[in-house]
Amino acid sequence: MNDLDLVLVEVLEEDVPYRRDAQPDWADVLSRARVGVAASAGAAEPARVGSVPRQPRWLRPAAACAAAALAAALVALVTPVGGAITRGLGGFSDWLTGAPGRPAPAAEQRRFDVAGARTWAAFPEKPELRELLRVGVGEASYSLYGFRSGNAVCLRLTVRGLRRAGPLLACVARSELERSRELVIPVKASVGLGWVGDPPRVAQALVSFGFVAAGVRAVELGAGPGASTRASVANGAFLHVLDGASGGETMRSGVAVGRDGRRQPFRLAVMRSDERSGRAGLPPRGPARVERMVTGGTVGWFERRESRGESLDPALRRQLGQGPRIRIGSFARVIQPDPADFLRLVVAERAGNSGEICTFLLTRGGIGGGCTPITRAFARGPVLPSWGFSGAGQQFWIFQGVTTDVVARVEVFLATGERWPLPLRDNVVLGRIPAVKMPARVVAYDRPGRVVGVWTIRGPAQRGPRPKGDWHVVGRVNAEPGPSAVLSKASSTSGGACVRLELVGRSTSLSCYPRRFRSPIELQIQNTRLAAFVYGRVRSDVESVELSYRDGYSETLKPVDGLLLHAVPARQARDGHRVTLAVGRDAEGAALGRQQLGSGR
Amino acid sequence: MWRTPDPGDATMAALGHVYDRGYRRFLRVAEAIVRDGELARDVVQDAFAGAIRGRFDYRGDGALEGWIWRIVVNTARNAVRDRALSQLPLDEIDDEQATKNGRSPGGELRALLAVLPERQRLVLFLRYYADLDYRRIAEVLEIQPGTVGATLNQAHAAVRRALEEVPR
Repeated sequence: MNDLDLVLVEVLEEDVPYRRDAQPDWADVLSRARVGVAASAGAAEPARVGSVPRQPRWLRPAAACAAAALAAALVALVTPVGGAITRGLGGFSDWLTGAPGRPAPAAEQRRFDVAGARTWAAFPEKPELRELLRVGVGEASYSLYGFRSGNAVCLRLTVRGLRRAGPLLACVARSELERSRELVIPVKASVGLGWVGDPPRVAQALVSFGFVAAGVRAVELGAGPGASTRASVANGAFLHVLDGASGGETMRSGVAVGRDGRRQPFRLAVMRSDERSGRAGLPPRGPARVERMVTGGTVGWFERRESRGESLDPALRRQLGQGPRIRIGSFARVIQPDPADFLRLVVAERAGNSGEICTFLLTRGGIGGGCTPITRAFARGPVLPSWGFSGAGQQFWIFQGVTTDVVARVEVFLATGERWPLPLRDNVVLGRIPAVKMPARVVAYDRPGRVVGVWTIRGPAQRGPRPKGDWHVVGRVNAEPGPSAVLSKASSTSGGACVRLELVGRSTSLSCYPRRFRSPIELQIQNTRLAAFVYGRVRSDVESVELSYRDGYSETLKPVDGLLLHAVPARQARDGHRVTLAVGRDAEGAALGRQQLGSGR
Repeated sequence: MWRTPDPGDATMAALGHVYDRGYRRFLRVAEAIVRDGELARDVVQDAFAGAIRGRFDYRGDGALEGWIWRIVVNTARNAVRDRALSQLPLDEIDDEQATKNGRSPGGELRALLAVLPERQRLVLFLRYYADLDYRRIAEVLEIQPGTVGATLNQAHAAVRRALEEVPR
């Protein structure tokens, strides 16, 4: 690219900025085409039903060869050898039928009961904690407990002697243990504990733990080849503690050693906010093509306002109603697709007769969700899906979705070749997918067995720019009420910059930008229950950013080091008052670019 | 992202896929042509609505995405003609910038872009905003690939002249 091109590109970029926030609206397209959105998926008109082309042949030859080689290596790893070893060692029967370890101390059981009582997604059966492991590392003492409750099998780690350290809880579905042919099923990996610093960023210990099959003598974890350290193994579980992990080490792989000395390697999914890795390069499996395209449709019981599932606990309703975020209407039901699991989904109407359907996932960790206009929810297909993970070190992602009445079953296909059904009940699909076996493909079928929806979940194997080098704190703000936020910046592997927003003590969000600006200001919003933050990057010639709110309020902010971090005043973080527009201005006040922000509410 | 089409490619699902994946690029090119963000949105929505209605006319003799790009560009051009917008040079923000930077290379270039011959502008937009290669641009504009290169050269030459004429 010569100088002329550079000038031209710059002018063109400014002339018509890339509208990152512009939202496609397929339902509107259908309306303009007079196709319409079906009132009932079962009565689809011919124009909305058709075959979908085969998947694009985008896989490059070299990448395809590499993927095939990796797949072959993986199959060789998990099928003949792994299967033989696991069968020989007895699988996870201790967890499925027995009671590993010994009863937990009464005081610990009481603490756990109290925590469970406060949790909205309470366990279906009162769990009895079993003490599996107790180790002392440095000044701290680590205790690993386990329990079964319905279809959930869980591990809970408590730590004494470290501040900001747990307890940590992670669960797998019982069926995962039943079908697994692995020797080790990690549930948490490389979770930092005992954070120190301001902001707290240095972990005093890094822990990983999970289930082990009967007969496993030892487990070793390592950040790389030849650098492994031993974990404690007992009572069907392992616990690995890396003391003084200030260097940001990440456990990426491990080896399980059987009684006969045979060794089976396994991998750990890295699920930190600033780093992810998985089985990049493996192709997704399972049907890639929708056989029957269905748009529109309804959730019959929701339309009819039938009392499916359970009613919404008044205390939970109050909790959802607190703060400025989303207010739900009077009709709300709690659906538990697998009655023996604790994952549940709240399906509700939005307040104000807005024609929106709201879903909130209830886990042990908390509540998260949002609302979508019903006319848009099923404009692309019969499932409104979402997936992700919550909490550091998680080895399982959660897939959730609301389906129209046309969906009869949903299945997940893993990169390892395994497949199983995802729990589906009352139009809610909700289940766990192991991150280390991604990319995964979730497939929805209608009653005759035709594929009506396909979603590929790349998970930690997702490609894209990553941060590199050190993080530098650029700014921090306090929201009142609400959390404080710290914005940091690092270089990106793509030559651009990565920014990290830490809501201190709560969560961390990471964004990586390309080197070239798509527009002079590239901002985003982080909402919490009680506050909202506007943050992002601006071009070097942007001297100020003016935020405009729906109620006419506006404020002008000064970027620092090319970044902006702002805590939206509490009165502006609610419907009818939210930020709607940002305008970047140069030193003379000339507008260089503008960006629409938020949902417009 | 281009591929050889299969028969029956212009299904609702395929169109929806192209729409979903390329919406912002379609929007950007449309906005560059019509010089109005709201109108550009209408152009893209109407273009895809037209593609749905006319999907059985798609013969599969080129990439589906190219066929849709052609519809989007033509819809945008028609919108310009219908609303007599072809001579509307700059939007509100650009007016402000042009005033402040009227003698800067950027300001000159913006003014130049607005009055370039239509084909030169379209080639520039499809090259820089849509990131299409010469072959695809030729498909969209229904011209020869060689003509794309020549047109782009003409546009570059005009830009270079404009730069040289900017007082230092």
